[in-house]
Amino acid sequence: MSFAWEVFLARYGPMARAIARSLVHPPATAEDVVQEAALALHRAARSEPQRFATVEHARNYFLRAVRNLAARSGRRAGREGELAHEPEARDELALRAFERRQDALAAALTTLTPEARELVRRRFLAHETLAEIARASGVPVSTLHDRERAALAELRRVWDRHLENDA
Amino acid sequence: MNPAHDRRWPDELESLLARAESDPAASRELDFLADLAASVERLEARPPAALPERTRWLARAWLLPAAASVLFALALGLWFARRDDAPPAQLALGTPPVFVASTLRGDGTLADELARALEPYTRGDWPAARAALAEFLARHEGHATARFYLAVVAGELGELDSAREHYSAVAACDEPLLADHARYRRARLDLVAGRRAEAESALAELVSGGGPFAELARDALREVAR
Repeated sequence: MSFAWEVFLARYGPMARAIARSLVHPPATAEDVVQEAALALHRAARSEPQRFATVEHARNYFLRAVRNLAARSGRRAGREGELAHEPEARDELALRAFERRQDALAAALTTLTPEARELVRRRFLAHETLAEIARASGVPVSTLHDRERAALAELRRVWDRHLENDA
Repeated sequence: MNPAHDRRWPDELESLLARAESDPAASRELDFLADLAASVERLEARPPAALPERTRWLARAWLLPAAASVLFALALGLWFARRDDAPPAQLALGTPPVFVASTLRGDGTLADELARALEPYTRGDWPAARAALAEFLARHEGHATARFYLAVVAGELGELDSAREHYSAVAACDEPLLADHARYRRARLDLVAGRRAEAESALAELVSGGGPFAELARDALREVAR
């Protein structure tokens, strides 16, 4: 497969950074980890293209690399080498479809109650546990759980619809 | 306590990745969560350190608190309007957009100049924003984005007729997202001004057009019908 890097990193970069932030050890940073994982994916895709028949294969490789690199961070300093080749051109259509989904999902996020929006942020960007949020906010875990489930159901409904439209 | 409540998301990553390799539903769930993280991050407007080159100019200070789409703010406005205690004027205006549309950021030819003109806007200094945007528009009369924000500023200053006039001008521009956004906000102004038929007609057109504002317009029509 040929990677549309801009789309790929725009789509999976935020999740990768969130994962890295919750696991990374100083002096490494989440950004270092994500960039290193992207470099690793780029090299692997060039040297073993047969491993990456679909974007999903690349996604899985990338997220695993982020997790592993973040977990191992702090044990060694420095970043691996720079890209030997420029990544391939981006896929404009895929980028636009991604941006449309992002707009729709973000619009749906802002229609949630402030409490639900904050919960989603803390769970899926800050990667806090429900127990941690309950302790910090004083809101019962069961309430948070119900709130999260309802918010995700609404967000998933919007996302599904846009995915079908883009299909 | 349920042990699940002490699990953070990365703990479940390996399991989800493993399932995603053989189960399309799990793969789809992973993509949903990735898109969700990306959307939340955009709303958070974190400094985009790893943004691709095309969007790197967004990292300028004036846009850091504003790095998302006007769509988001519109939805915020709609959310605000749903509050029972929202006074009538706010029902129309909601929260002013503090974001520059992501689809508009590609044109960097006037970026610096527009950035300067929008700087008071990002501070919520409406009189200064009106002056700066008017000055910008005196040099670039057809700049729809600047006129859109001038319309918002006029609304914030309570100059609803002026706001409506600017929205109407933007609604006729050839940038679909911006034009639809202007139609939507004009319709909400019309609702407050008692021009219900015009508002409903505009909202119905947005719904039938199926664009990014269709769902918001549908919700607004439901509100009106209540």
